[in-house]
Amino acid sequence: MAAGLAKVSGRGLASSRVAYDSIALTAAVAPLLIFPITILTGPVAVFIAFRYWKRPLALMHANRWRFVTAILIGLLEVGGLSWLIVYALLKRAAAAA
Amino acid sequence: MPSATQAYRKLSSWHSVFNGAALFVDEHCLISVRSSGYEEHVKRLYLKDIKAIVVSKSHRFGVSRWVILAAFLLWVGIGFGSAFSPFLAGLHWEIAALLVLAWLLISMKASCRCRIYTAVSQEELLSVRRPWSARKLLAELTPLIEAAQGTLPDGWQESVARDHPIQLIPAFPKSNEESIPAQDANSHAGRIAASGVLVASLLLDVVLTSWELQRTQPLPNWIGSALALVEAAAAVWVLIQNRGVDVSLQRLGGAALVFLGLAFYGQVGIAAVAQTQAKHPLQPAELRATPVHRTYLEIYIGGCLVFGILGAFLTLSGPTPQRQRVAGD
Repeated sequence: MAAGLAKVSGRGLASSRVAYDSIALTAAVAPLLIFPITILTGPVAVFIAFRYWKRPLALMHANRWRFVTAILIGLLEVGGLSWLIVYALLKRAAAAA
Repeated sequence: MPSATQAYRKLSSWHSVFNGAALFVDEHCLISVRSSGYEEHVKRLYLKDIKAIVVSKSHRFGVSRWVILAAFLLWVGIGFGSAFSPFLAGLHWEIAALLVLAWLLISMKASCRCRIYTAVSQEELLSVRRPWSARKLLAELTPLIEAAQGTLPDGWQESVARDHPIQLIPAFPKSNEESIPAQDANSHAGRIAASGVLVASLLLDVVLTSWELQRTQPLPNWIGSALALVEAAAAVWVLIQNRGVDVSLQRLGGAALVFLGLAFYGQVGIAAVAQTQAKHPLQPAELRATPVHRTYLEIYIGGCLVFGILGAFLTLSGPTPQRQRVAGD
């Protein structure tokens, strides 16, 4: 009964949990080693953070700072790379004109 | 079975880079948590089922992520500092060797393994790795287990000799607050002393730095270095003493430590930038006269003052207990 209840609610009685906040943070930070792919992984990190925000945290994680950091870094990555692309396109257009 | 909304308290925790373990307790059971990668597994051990807790000497070479971070920061800090001080440059490798020796010594001579046995299973507590944390755990758990299982009556040995059944003395369950051992009273003096040293050193720093700001000649370097060392040590002391007791002072200790670290790197950064921008190598007195350095000192004085006043206020206002977490949060 406990296993069934845990499966339905995902709360309290479950014997294992997934640390989605750590996954989101890794998705935001690890790809910085290969900077261009952050255009893909930045939104993924933000999506994971918002999608699993309300899920119970891992017992060893006291608060949601990893989610917040993942969102901030993910947004910065998307914003930074978008700005770079727009800047490069505008510069190319200006050079062509 | 405990309800899903029961409060629980952390007894110990340990994190390596990818794995970790923690131990929590609530009114009825111990909750042993092991994390591996992104998944954590929970095992509950009811206090009334525990038959034995065995602590044995062992080698433990694992290093926690906080120790790795602290060693890395120390290494980087000395690296930065050695660019400006030949004394530090000479000590670089000696300090690294000392850190490795300390790690080996603690891993081989001051480490242990802790297992909990019930009638049908055993659980190794990976978060308890040192004798002092094992002693603290036993001091916290013993009253809880006695409350759940009862205690042996006085003179129980005579009953064994007469082959007479021993009746356990039932104990009334205690709340978590009541079960915190009486060592709390002893640690109170330690907490006050730690906070006092931190506040005093911060306020002394405010006075000395303000005085230095007015002077044309700088104070000897060793005064500032010694004071910074005392402040950092006091901040770590406050952090340790108030862990799990007074969350406000614990956070203040952490914040003061971060502030001191940032101040150190800020000072090094300002000096480096000023030297690169100058046409000739700047002397310490010239460096002190730059507007950026004066602004930095003013910010530093303000920061120390805020931390000092806040520390004094929090020390006098009494402990703020840590918020208990609720399963399912």
